[in-house]
Amino acid sequence: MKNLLNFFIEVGKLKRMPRRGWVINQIKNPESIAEHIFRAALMSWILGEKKEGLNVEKLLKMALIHDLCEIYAGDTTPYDSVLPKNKKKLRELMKTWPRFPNYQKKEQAIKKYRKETEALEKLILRLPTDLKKEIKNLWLDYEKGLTPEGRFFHQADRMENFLQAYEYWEKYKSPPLGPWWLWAREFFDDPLLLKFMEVLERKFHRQKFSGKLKPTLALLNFFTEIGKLKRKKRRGWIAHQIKNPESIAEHIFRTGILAWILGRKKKRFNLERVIKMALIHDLCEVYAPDLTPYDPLLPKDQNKIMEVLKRWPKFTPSLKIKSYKKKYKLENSAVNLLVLKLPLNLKSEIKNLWLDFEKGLTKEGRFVRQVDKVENLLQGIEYWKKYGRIQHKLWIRWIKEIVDAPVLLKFIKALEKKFC
Amino acid sequence: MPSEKKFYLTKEGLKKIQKEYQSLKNLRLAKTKGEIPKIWHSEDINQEYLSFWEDLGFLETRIAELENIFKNVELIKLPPKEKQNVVNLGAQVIVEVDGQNDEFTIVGTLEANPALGKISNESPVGETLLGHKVGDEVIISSPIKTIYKIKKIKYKIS
Repeated sequence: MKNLLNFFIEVGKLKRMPRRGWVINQIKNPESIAEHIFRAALMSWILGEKKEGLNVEKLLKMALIHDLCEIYAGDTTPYDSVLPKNKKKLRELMKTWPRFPNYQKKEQAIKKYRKETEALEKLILRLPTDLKKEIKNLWLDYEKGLTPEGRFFHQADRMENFLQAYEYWEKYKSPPLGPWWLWAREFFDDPLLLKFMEVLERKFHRQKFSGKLKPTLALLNFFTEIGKLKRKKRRGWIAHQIKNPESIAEHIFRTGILAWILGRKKKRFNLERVIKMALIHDLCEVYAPDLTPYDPLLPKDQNKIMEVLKRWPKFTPSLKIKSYKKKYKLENSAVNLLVLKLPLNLKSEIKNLWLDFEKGLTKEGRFVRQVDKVENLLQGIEYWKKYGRIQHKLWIRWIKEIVDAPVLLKFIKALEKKFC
Repeated sequence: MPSEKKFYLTKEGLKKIQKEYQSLKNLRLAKTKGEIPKIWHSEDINQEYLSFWEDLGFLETRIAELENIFKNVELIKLPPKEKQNVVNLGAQVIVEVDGQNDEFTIVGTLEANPALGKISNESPVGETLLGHKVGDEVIISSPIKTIYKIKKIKYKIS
């Protein structure tokens, strides 16, 4: 468990790593690698299910691990070898798509592959053998396109990137779209993703839609809405005055990896359902507020907030029920609104997964509910180590009241041993 | 269920996956005989695959995938001499785009790797270039107009 814990701590570093492509495009406060992974996973699931015969569990796992190597290898862009230091020249360069002779393309690809392989191997070195093999094989499949899932995700991943480029362009008029289109028209060849690209173009350039494209537009609008979670900071950390705290998308990303890896040995356990549930459990927060147990007690005076946070909030049973009902109502309406225009089967799937998570209707639901709290605890302890301010001992005491899955209890024990 | 889609491969690409297939089958055989330690230095198995394919589930998936490809493969052939001035599958095309030269090889989806200059025949650019000759200016206009001027076409297919 110690090695798994260290792995999850390393994985958490992706929450603070901005995507380099946006940095060189001088985008203010750009998304992190973890935030990109969050939406890439959801897009690969939802678009992948529209393709016949793809293994969605494999797609989800591939999405969650595909950029883990960047923890040590960093994020590379096609511009890296030609970057000028001058900001004005950099802006000019970003208006073009860098072209290289084929021998240079090959050299760059080999260098990147070696660097990333070494980084991934370093990261997974001490993981249990079965998991190490699974992660390595999933990554190789993604890199080399060994199976239909690998080939599809290789492109779905870039489609998330393209969508993000359009969202920044709409907001900041940057990055310039010319090079993106030059690249996209050479890169994508999957018929489903080409159709998605057409819808992307029509939506952002405000062109008319034919009836047959409308279902794809509904998916695109859904992805745009959930993309808002990349910028929504978790309120619990804001209340604790944590500087630049994680976003909801970043929390979802690590919850997804934790749920898969800690749930993988459980018998008769539907891992696909577990990962999907982890990915959707907080989507309601696109519209609903991110409520914390302290909310009814928090004073307006910022200086007094820290005093309140020193004690674990205690409420009477009737007040607890009232707060739960209020939270449930708000979140339920938010989920309904979010999935409103989705195709019926997807709408029901997301709604049912969310209900299962909220109410713990199945063993998968009960497990993911607990993993959500454990990820939160891990993040809380990481902030406590960095900034103080978090009452980690109270938190651990509380979490032991609500967690009963043996694997999670072992994890909490390892966490206490390492940090406390 | 594997799809029945046709897979276009170059001779080189087909050889590569045939070699991989043989290597994976040797590995599977060794696994069933429990000979794993002996194969670490065997020349019958590409050593890279040892780390790829230690996972039996993954090994089987890849073998099934390769068998599906063999069943539906169509080899990219050298076009007759009179048609070698036209972009077809397997062509190496030098184009001028936005004042810069670039070189593409038009391949099937399995071998496509734009980072290495291998463009899929099903991508918008690959599809549009097909059937054009040297001197043609191929325009892709939606949503941003780009002109691909074909400067040279060559075939290195045996």
